[in-house]
Amino acid sequence: MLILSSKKVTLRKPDIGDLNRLKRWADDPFLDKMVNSELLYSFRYRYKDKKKFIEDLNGDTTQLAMMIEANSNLGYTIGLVRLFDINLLHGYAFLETIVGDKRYRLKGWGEEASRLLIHHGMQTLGLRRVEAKVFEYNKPSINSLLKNGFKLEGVLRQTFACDGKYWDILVFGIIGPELEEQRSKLAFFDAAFKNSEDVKDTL
Amino acid sequence: MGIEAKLSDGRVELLLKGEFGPDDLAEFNKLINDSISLGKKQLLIDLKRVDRLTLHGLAFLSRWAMEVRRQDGLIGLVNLKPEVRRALVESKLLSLFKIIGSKKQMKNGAQ
Repeated sequence: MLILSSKKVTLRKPDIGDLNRLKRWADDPFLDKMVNSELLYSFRYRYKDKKKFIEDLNGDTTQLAMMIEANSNLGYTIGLVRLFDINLLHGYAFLETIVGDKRYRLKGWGEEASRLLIHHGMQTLGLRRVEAKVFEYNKPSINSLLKNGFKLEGVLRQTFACDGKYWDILVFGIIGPELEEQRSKLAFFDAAFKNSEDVKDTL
Repeated sequence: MGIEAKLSDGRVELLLKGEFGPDDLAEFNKLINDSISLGKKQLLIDLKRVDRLTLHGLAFLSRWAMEVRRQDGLIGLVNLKPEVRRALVESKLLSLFKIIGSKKQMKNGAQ
């Protein structure tokens, strides 16, 4: 069982107890507009057998999806964070963060969960680059990425159609040395990875 | 503990077992560095006790392979089960290793 912890959040693998909340998030038009998650789309439309969705998600060797629990609220599950399209040969992956419970948005929960998973990806999976794409109107996600040390690397102009208009997609990235810089600024990382024995998996 | 190691002429032989964690990675890295300092740049990993590879298992193998290659060495994999081979193919990591069907084949000079 893979579990990652920091002072504020705990990340754990999804299980069948998450099906109802995943359904709620997949049906949420606000999340669809802000994140347009391929994962939630797949959950909603591609899988009739939702238990199979969880099995496939946890067995997928190209992604690492983790549910976000708020430590201050007895482990209440507030969202999902994942590294996907993981390429171990070249050492890169893409990041997606979804804070499904609206009471926990704009308060730094997604930011800390992302930081924790990215660090795990770099430390344990050997990733040296993480990339994230965000719609230009999603200011909270942009701020969160910048706070986590991501750099704006490019703009995919007028790519996404929403509310009768085409919007730009911003491409952010972070590479190994920049993450180390973040680590030295934040005591958070030291606290987060003391429990390396909690990280177990089956080869 | 997921690793059993055996030193032989010019080579380190490893047998991998079920459970793996970050501590194993550190241990393996030390083993690689020690072996290389002794002039042993070939590693043979026996996967006969491994039924499938998870994301973390693949990540460890690829990091080991990269580390050994950086030192001009090579990792050979022996006794791959179909699911293990499939995972290596799908993750495009197969080319990092020298694949050997069995230890018997290896002794007969198979590549």
